[in-house]
Amino acid sequence: METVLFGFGATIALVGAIIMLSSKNAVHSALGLVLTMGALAFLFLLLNAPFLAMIQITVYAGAIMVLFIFVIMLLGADKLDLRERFPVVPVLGTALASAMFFAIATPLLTNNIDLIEPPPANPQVRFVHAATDIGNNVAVTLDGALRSQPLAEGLNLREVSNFMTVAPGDYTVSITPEGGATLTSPISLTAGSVQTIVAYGTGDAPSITVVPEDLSTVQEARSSRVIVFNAFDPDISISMVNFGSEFDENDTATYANNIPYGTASETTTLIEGDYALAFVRGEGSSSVNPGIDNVLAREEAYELERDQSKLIVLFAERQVDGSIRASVDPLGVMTRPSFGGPRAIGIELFTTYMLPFQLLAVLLLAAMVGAIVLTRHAVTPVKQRVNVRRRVARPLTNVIASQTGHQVVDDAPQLPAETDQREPSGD
Amino acid sequence: MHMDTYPQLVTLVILFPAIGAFINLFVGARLTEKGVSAIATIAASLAFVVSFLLYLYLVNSNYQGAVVNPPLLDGWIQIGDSVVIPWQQRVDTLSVTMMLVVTGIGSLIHMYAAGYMHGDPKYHRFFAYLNMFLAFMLILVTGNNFLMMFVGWEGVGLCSFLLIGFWFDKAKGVGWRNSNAARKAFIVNRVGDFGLLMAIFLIFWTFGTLDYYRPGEVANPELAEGSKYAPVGSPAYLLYQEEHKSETEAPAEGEATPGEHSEAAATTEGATAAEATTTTEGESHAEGAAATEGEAHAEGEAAAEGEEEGHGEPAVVYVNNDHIATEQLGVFGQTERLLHEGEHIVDFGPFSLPFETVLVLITLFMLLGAAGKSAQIPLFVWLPDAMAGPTPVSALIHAATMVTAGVYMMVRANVWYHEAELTSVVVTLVGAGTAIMAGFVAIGQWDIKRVLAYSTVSQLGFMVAAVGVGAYSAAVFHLLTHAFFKALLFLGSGSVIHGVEHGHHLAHGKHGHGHDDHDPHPVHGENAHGHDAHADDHAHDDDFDPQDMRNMGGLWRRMPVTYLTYLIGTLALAGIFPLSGFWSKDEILADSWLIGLEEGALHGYIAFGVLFAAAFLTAFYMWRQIELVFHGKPRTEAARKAPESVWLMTVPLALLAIGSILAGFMQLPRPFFFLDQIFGTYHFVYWMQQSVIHSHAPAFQLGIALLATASALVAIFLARRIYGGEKSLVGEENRDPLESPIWSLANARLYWDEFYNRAFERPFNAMAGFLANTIDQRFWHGYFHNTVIRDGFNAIGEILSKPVDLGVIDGTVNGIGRVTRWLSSKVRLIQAGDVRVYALSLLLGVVVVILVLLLPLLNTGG
Amino acid sequence: MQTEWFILLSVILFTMGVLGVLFRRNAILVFMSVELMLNATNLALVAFAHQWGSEAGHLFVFFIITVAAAEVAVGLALIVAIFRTKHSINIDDLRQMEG
Repeated sequence: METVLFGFGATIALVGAIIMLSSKNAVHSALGLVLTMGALAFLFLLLNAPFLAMIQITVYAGAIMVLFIFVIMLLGADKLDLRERFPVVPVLGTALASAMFFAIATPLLTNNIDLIEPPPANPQVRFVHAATDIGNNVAVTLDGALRSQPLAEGLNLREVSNFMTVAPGDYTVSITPEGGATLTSPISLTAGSVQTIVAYGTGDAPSITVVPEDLSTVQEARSSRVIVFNAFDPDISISMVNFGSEFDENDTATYANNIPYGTASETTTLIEGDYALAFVRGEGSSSVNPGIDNVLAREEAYELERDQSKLIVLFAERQVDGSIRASVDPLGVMTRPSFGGPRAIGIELFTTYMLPFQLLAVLLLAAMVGAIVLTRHAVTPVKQRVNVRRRVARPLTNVIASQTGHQVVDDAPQLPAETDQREPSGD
Repeated sequence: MHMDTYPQLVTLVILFPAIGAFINLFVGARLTEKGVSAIATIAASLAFVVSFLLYLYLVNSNYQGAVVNPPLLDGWIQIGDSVVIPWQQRVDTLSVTMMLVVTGIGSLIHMYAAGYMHGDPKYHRFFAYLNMFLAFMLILVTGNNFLMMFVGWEGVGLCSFLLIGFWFDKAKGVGWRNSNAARKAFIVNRVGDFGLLMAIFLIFWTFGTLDYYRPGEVANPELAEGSKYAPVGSPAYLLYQEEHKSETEAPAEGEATPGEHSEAAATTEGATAAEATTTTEGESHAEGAAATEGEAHAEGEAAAEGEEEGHGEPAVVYVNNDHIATEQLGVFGQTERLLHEGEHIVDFGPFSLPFETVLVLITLFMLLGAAGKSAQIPLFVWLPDAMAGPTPVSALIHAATMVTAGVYMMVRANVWYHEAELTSVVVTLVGAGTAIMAGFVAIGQWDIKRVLAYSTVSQLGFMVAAVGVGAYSAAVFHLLTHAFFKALLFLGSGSVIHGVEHGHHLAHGKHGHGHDDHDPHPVHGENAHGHDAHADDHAHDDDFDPQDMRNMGGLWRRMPVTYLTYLIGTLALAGIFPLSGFWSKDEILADSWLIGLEEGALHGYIAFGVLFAAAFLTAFYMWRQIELVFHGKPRTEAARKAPESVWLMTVPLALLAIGSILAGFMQLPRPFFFLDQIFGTYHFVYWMQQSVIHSHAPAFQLGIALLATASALVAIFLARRIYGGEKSLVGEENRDPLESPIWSLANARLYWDEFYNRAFERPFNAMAGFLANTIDQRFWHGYFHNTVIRDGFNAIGEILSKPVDLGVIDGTVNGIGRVTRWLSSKVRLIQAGDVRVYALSLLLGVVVVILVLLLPLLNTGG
Repeated sequence: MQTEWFILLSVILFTMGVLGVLFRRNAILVFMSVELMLNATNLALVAFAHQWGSEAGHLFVFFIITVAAAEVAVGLALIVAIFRTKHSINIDDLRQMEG
């Protein structure tokens, strides 16, 4: 299907180009170019670049070509192609153009060029502190083959470190509570993966596990991904359910069902909006409002934004009296925007390419001013020319005479002596 | 002002004349003659007053010498830690003696010059020079190190040069002669200065310092054992008697009477004493020799109890230098220490010499310096010519003070001369030879000042010979008395010349003589005759020589004061009892006789014989002068009309005459009428002993004294026989009663100048000519510069310019230009302004770039 | 869909643009050929962006389009001005840059 569409677009583009090149009428040429541009916009769509396709049509096919045609009409230059004065140019030009074409096309067609696959991105990793009893001020390091990299320092309970990009390979996570023994756990980080290390559980020796995350573009519109991680009690598996809206207490849904201790749920995609979430013991029910006893924790108005990836950790929090209770720690990360869309381009444009963007704005302004200045009718200041006295009063014949040594005009006045020694100018 | 601080005044003794010199040099031209001479004379007199205060200080502090650090000149020359030459001044009996002579006689001569130089256009400059001379001379005699001595040495040499050539601008070649004399003096002295410099280098290498004495150092430790020259009944004398009464007694016995001892050695008063006492007892223990530190300690405590009781600080008075480390001593103290230790070797890098040999070298080099400054053989030739300067200069610089610098230096270094046997012999021979030679030449001179000049050379020979035989005290004594009567004689001769010149003008009307018309005494141009003009052409006024004794005669009637004082000076110089010359000359003769007799030194006998003959000659030529100048009839109109000089000139004469009479009494070798009650006996030698370790005085030799006096009387009688009476020498060439080859030899000054002319001047000129013409002109200029350098340069330049520059370099440049033009003429065809051609070339570039980019990506493996 | 085909199309279009620049003497057509070349480049950039999954290519295309707009505005203004003075838009007549 795509091949067919490509062949269609390519054909139209080539036809337009041929028309543009071969037509004697400039207006026809312009229309051929419009055709090519439209075809290219179509091809842009094929290449997952809808924003550029729109720009192509509006700016090129719309504004620029209109300008062309307008000028052609204005100048009446639609049939101005005249005789060839430099026959050598087309011959040489054809040869060189062919050379260029084959220089690129031949290796392309024979698949003789190494099209380098993009290297996968380095793994990203972060750490979530959900271990109940090792206290605050935890230092985390990644001890790799080459060197140790601090992942977090002074991390408190409920806190998460930033993502750190590291080289792929095997690492040892070292968690050092303040004044406590260092806990270690081996992890393996592969290229392109995004991992969250979670330390959880009660006691001095918390468990450590790795939760993979997905930061790619959320394909569903206005949605986010949600993953639930059960870090509450070894004996209890949990479910995340919709605790119902204000309007209908029975409107419940189970988003993550029966998650065992120490594991993450499947990814659930939810549309943006406010949710009343409840984390319940055991299995969730789609029809029954869970009993109040089963509810471990609640989030009454949990706002879910679009294009995010959420990791919700339910962990045990130590109370003042020593008992534990469930606590929710939702950790959101922005996912990647859709490729080629206006949002993706806008983000790039206003972050990485801010300075070129500004320069372009200035360029456009200068072009506008330049166009105005160039097309303005020049008013000849007649009065000034009358008053200007020209300093060069020497007749041209005089100069010629001094340079050739012949008297051009018989009664030409002689030059001053010193100018005789002046070198004749080169050419 | 407490007397302890008197030594600090020694700064002023230099400062006063220096200030006077500066004032006269810079504003003197705007002052009147009276102002100028007043400033200069007052400056000199103030220096004398300061010197006298220093003398009082020494007398009252029991002759305790001091080293003074003048303000603002701390660390005069300091290079790292190894070369430290401070600007320090030494106040001790020797330097104060010299100061008194220099400033005392100098003041009188300033006064005299105020009258003598009247009317001279460069009046202020003359006095500026005189004051400058005084300042430098005082630096010379007060400096505490050899470098300061050298500064003074060169300074007085400069002033001598300036003053000898003072009338360099006189007309008719006279000025030329004057400046020649000045140059001669300067150049001859350079030879001597070389010797002095070498000596200074050797001294510094050997001792690591140039200081005579360090502050707190005791100059003469032997005085701790008393002195036989001390006034009878004085503690030092009693101590001496005690020491020598029982030679066997332990030396510790001497220390048993500390109170008395400390008086004898030194009072504890004064800055010097304070300096000495700053050395703590701990240091004395640490540094002193093990055998003597206990003594020093004991003495110090005893002195402290005796003198400074009640004071908190311990006033330790040292009578010797045992508490000072060797390298902390001055050169003389080090010498004594090193000689005592013996076996000292001086390392000179490639070789080394025994210490004693180095001392001989040092003293010989110093002798060379002294021969230059003090006009000894072979460098005396400049002094007679130096009479070209104004007469006060002759008196002050070239008779009384500067020429004695060499003697002063040798006496200052008596420690070394005492040790260097060889040098002693050489010094004796040089001195005695100079004395007899100059005395002989003096009898053949017609010029009144020239006779005195040779007399001066002769008397300096006496002094040097005295140093040679070890009679250091006698040398200084003779220096002192000689300063009096020779200054007197020179000033007297100046008075005579002045009078004769004046008489000449009176006799020949008042027409101008080609001299300065405004000058009421246009006389000095002729004074400046630096040769014994024969004055054979008396008819011409301009050639009249007022210094020629043949133009004088019978002046005693016209100039009674001058005559009387001159007579006193003559008798003093001739050594007639009891004038000063008798005592000093007799001491030298007696000393040289005794050194031969007692030590069996041959040079003592030689010195005695030669000096005795020289003394005879002295009496002879001096009386010859008296006869020719003052006695008989006036031989010229000028002499007949010569007036007595003004009081400014006669007063110094009278004062100097009194000094000439009395100066001898300060060293009476035996009771003499009532005078020994006033002056005491051996006063001067006791005085000198405080700073000159090896000074001593011989016992009075009645035989020698009688013999010398008799010979002098015989010489006087002889001279009167030959030159006396009513003989007239006018107009008769060479009608000298001694028309003999010997006299001619004397008249021709023994052909010294001719000898130098042949031996040095001509070879020197020939060599200079050779160097200038052959080496410099022909070889360097003609061959090396012209042929090698110029022609070679031209040849290289030729090669570089023609083939290299024009061919290669210009060719390259022009070729590049030509190629560029040719290329551009082709290339510019492309630049046709055709846009599509530009586009084509752009495309070409694009293809090339694409190929370059794509080729590395080509998958060769398929 | 293979990126190579897009690249090939881009090369073809670019070569055609080049030929247009070289062959046509009408300044406006030369200009249009330049635009064609720019479009070919854009196509290549977008294709590569698709290949690499990077938005940088898109941004460059965006910039090129913007620059092209400015260029066209100024270029056409120039052509108009030249036509006013020389009454010709044949680029062979515009030889003021002749060296």
